[in-house]
Amino acid sequence: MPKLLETVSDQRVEILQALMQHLTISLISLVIAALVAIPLAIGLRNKPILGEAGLQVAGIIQTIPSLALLGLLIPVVGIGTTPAVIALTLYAIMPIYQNTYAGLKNIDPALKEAARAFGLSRFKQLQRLEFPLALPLILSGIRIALVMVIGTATLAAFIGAGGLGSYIMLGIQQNNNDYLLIGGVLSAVLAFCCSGLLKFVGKKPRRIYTTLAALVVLALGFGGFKLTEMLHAPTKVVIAGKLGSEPEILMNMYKELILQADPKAEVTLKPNFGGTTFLFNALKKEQVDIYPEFTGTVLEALVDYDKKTPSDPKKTYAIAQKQLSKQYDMRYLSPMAYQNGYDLAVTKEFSQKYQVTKLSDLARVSDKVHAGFDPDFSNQVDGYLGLKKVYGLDFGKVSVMEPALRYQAIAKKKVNLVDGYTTDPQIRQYDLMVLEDDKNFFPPYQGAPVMNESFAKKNPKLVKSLEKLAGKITTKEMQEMNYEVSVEHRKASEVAHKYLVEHGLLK
Amino acid sequence: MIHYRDVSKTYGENTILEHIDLKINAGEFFVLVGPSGSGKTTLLRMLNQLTLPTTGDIYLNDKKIKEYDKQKLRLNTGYVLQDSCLFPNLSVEDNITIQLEQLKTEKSKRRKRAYELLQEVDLDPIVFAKRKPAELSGGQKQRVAIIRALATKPELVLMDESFSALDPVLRRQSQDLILELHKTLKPTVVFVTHDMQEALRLGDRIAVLHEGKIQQVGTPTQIMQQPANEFVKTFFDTESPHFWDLDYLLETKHLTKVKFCPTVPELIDFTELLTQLQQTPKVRFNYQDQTYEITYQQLLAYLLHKE
Repeated sequence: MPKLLETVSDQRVEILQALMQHLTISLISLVIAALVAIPLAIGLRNKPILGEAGLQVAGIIQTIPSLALLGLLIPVVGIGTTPAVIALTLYAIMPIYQNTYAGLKNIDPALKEAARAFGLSRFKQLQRLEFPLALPLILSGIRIALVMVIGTATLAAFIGAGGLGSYIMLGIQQNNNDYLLIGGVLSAVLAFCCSGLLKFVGKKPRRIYTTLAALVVLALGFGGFKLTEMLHAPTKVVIAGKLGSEPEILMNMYKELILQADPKAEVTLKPNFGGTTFLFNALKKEQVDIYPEFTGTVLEALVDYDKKTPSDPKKTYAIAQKQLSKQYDMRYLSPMAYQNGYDLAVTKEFSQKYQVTKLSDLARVSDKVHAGFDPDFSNQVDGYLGLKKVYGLDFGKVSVMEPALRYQAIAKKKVNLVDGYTTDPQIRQYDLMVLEDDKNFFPPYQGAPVMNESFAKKNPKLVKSLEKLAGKITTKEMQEMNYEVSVEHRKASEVAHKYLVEHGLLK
Repeated sequence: MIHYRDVSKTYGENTILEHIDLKINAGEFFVLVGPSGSGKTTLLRMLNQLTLPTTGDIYLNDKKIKEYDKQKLRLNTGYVLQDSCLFPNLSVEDNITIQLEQLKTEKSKRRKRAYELLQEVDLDPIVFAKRKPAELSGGQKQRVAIIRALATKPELVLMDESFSALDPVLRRQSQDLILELHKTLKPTVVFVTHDMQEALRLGDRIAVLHEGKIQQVGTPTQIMQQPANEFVKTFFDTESPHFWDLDYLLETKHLTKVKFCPTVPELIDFTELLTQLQQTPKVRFNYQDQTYEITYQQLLAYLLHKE
């Protein structure tokens, strides 16, 4: 519990930001949905066939799983806020439309007949009779939609729209219950408060109209603000990164270096943006300007390259850089020093007891090993299968478990060897020993910023500032920084700043 | 003022109205009476284009009704439905002046008109103007519904079974009220009812309808004394006079309320009271949780007063 409070107070700015982002996405979607659904229901209220058809269509949209809908939208409108708002709007339309339609249909036919017989115009009938009578149901529809949208908006984080979902995603990723709690509880509280507020507003017609007026003023102000912002646009740079602490630290370093070169630049960070392919596509579509990528990943997953990844890091980088430039017209800056590849780690006790420091030492004690492996690692050719061949290993026992659990397993002495990445903070946290890959089996993974050639040409100053990181940051230093962020829960921005200052990269 | 000329109405195979020829004079209180399904409501709804005739034409002030602008026609016609049909979301004042609002009358003039009308039917505007319909009693609602129909000072007021849903006491009060309003404001009123007592009480002239055809048109006396055919005779014969009713009696001062006594026998109707008074000069009876006392002299006075 005290740890949770500490996380909250450490991250209060970020949490507040996520909360506002969440609220903004939800409200925009809700307003658009209401602007579509209510007029639609009004227009179709006297056309039963079309009106019922509308109900069916809205119902069908409702049944599409939200993640699938978000995924379907990516090829059409890309990633970020736009697809999130579209998906949420589609969901919110159903309850609002349904309730508006039902509210208008439920009006006593005698009253409608009276309004007609008095010679009231269609508009007057709607304004003075139908709409006010349907209003309570319409409002309850809006309330249902709001609660649903706030809940579903947590999924928007998966397509880079941010919001409280980022905390949930991060929590699952890092096995961090504090983040899960922050994301989950805050979105529930937000839904509860908004629903209560709407209920309060809906009690009296005057409150409804005041709120509507306030919303209009707010929207106009927001629009005006955005417009002036667009007119005086400074250089805009969007830096994104994959899940985890390491990309976040690097992004913050990029940001500081860029700001040093061009203090007027406007740098937006999108941490925990998504997986490799997702990020790479975002870069291709220029929704993201820069992100840190590994040389090994470039060869294995991004460019067409059918030969085996060389074991020499320099060669790997050279090929990756050439292919990215040739195939995608992208610029891949020089890599940093550290290597973040697969590794095998053992406890210090194990290493001392059996005199094991290199992977080739393992063959001697193969039957003493009880390994805890990530499911991917255990059956990949560049994982355990390949290791077996190259080093002649056959471990006594192999347990396959969730990535987050393996380190806990070794800490509790359930296993004595795990796979992992060389910069994992848990190596320090649990005092483990990384075995040297003396036959260079694991492909080299070195991090470097990648960007579109067009961006690089337009901003030579920024490129130069980023090159300062080339050859910097050792594996040990990266491990240390990861430890500070993901175990000690310090802010990535602070850790990054400290490193840059200590190494004289920041004046 | 209103002239139906050879008007017929059919829905598919069903004939609702057949060859109706009928004249209604300006300022007249005209009642369309008949059993349900006789076509009287259809006939009424043709006057504000809610229903159009299949053949024939209706003339209003010598112009065919179908040639009038529908909205203008309706805005200048009062309409009172069976249930009061007040708009539940609007205040009494807004309900009364809804047609004026459509006509874009200024707010201050609308308010003035609503206040006038409320005073006309003994509802204090200060108390009632801002109330919602749900805060009114049944009788008050019906009064508001009536003055709502008069807000634009229409020459023609249509009333469709307007009092049928009211209990006998309220119904009689409403009838008195509309008669009084008719006397002072002199609009043409076309009133539809299935209740022949109501027809006799209200109508300057009455048209009796049966199975889509007009059976007879005439003053109440003419219809009572010279029924045109067997149908009219039986329709007006079967029922007792309207004052042959305990509710009417209880409203008058011709009997005495006494302290409630549960052991006194319960009376069901007016006829039973007469039977008992035949035997004793004074009868005590219970009716709707109240004990009353009446002598035969009091009863005679009541009957005399009614005639």
